[in-house]
Amino acid sequence: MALPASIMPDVAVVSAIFNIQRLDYQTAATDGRVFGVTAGAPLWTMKATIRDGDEDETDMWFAFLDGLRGVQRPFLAYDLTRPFPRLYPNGFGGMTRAGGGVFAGAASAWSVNSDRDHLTLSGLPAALVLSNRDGLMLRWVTGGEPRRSLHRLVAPATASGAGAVTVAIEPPIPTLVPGSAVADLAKPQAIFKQVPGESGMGEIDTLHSASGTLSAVQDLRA
Amino acid sequence: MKSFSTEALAAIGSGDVMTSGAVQLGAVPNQVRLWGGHGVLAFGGFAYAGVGKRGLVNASGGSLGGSEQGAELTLSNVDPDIAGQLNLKALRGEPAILWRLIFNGTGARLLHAEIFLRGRIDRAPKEETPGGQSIIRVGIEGPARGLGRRSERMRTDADQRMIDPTANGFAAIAYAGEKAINWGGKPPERSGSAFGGIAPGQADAIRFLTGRSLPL
Repeated sequence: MALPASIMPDVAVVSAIFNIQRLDYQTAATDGRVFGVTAGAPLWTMKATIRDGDEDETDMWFAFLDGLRGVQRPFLAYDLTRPFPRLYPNGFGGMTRAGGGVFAGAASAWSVNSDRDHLTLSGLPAALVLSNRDGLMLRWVTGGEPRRSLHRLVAPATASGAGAVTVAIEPPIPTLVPGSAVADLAKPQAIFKQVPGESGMGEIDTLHSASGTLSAVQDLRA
Repeated sequence: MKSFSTEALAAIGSGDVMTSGAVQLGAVPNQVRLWGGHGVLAFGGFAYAGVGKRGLVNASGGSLGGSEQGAELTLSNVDPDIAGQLNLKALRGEPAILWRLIFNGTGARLLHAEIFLRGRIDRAPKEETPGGQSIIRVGIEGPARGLGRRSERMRTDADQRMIDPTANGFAAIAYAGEKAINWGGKPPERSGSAFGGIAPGQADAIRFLTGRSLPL
């Protein structure tokens, strides 16, 4: 029985970066041609810098990092600078699907092309505008445990009047994502495990606050 | 000479390509099948469990092209249910088949899968670094030479039939087409007896031709 996933605190983060980590074998020749192959599937990495917030925030971060038990417990995290699409920074409150019904971020259906890098979503609000770097996740549950596959737009897109849109995303959707997964635009998360040697809180000062860092790598499972 | 499928060659040429590896360890019924990606991959009629290890197969570069080709697998990030199947002591000598997998750049389509090496597991040390990673390395010895043999007998059907024309036990065994024998070595016993040894006249001729550089 795996430990239940915890959720990364969204306070006192001064800066963070989500990157797609790829491993390339490459040969750059002097004639300008670059040969290379990618070894294996890409994964997300995350680095966050925690500022010396107030005592509550510092305590929350200590509790979170302590609760991770090193590498035992996975956690969910989303890009705090882009929890929702760029044009809807405060969420989807009051929005309705083109076909009717409340829209809270989840598409009613999705499909993917054969290369798995173009995703077609339906059941969105009409003319919903998605921008570069907007995220989306595919979420499902395996054995009671949450599962996430995080993706980011590489081109802007606008939904049709019927609420359908095709978006180009990176990284491509892994083949392990089940067809029953839900595509969601709200707070798109990935599941991470921390890298213990690069994570931790610093010394606590007289104001009972401390700064720290969190470094993590995606834990992608079916 | 490698023969890749046409679409794999096109992918390699354009750079829109991703490589990985797969391995089958052990014999029936205790077989373990792993591949370097995430999730389950099915090809060749079997399902391979993903270990998420991107450089699953490191062909040991120093000996490539030499008389003995081997490869080394680095298995980390192995799920506990898979690691439980890997009894390290029992792995020695077990057969192993390595596959090279070539996908398109997004990893969505398997363009080419070929057997990279057949061999036997030679060593399987486990490395654990506190605060670091836990790794099982599996060294696989190819069929070219080695495998604990001390003569030039080859594990082939033709070689076996020299000993016993009716023995077909190696009829379905993969083999290396040639084998390097060092000059100056002793005449192997078994092949010597199989061929009836060297006649005195033959030995004189060989001594004459080689200037007595061969101990006979």
